[in-house]
Amino acid sequence: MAQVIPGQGVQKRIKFPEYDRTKGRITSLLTGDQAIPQKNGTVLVKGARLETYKYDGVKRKVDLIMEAPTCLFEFRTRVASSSGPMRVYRADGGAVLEGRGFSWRQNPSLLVISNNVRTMTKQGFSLNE
Amino acid sequence: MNNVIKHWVLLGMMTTSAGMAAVKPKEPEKTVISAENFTFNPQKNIAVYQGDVVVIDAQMDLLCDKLTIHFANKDKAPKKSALPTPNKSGAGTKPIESGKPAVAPMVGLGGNIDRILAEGDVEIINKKDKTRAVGGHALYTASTEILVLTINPKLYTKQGVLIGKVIEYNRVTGSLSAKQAVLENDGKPKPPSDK
Repeated sequence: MAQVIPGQGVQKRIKFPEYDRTKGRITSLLTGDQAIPQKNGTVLVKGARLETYKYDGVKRKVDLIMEAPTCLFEFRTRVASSSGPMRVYRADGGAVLEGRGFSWRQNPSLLVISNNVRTMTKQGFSLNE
Repeated sequence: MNNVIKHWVLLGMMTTSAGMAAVKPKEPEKTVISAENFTFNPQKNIAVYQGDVVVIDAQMDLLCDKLTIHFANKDKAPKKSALPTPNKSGAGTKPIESGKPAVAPMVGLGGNIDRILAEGDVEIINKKDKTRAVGGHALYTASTEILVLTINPKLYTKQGVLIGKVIEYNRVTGSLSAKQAVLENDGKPKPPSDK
């Protein structure tokens, strides 16, 4: 995988990790099949997948997985967003959430789904089990 | 009045899972929540559904304008109270088996719910007996398994309409209580309306 630098051409199999700098550990990872830099400092990510992580001591657990055919990622704000369809699910398959239009901000963490939200769940969205 | 409450308790607004579980306990029951939009704050452990919220659950349907789910913090998760659970008939109780939940989690969202707040034109429909409760505000607390309906709460049953200042339902015991309750149309025909 490759890190995308603004100004570069189309990149394949990209990843944008986010870190908790105080603890030095990864908190989320946005990956994509393709990244196309845009003029406004954003990157159009195709085949986007975002994983968020939680920690049980030092053990890392995947919490939520978000998937979208495309999304825009803004380097400055570290916000991923899209007006298209998206899907979120828990790593353990306990819940699936679908909608249209989303925004994910890493710090502080906030997921907003704008339209036609539909959740199918067997359990909640946090790893409190 | 007492008879109505007893009858309603026997039917149990949301206790169907205990009786039905013995018949077909196989697959975990899914819950579907639809809304116009959704916000999830993992750090605060809060999920908010807004706009024509509809919850379709195995036991009940819930409709409201806004649904806020507060998830329990892992380190501060409330412990379930060791309350008895009603048996099939609802007349008696049986002890809770250790490690197993007494009743299905509220709206099927799992055991990590702390509380659920429904606001704005709240409507709860029991699928088994078709009783319907409405109000402006409903709060479910997982640790106590109690659902409190306020702001002009009304309970529509076959016996009539129960109106109270606060209608409270305990999912574990199946008991229902209403403060300053009034029952309308208790088996009597409606009086002719004044014109």
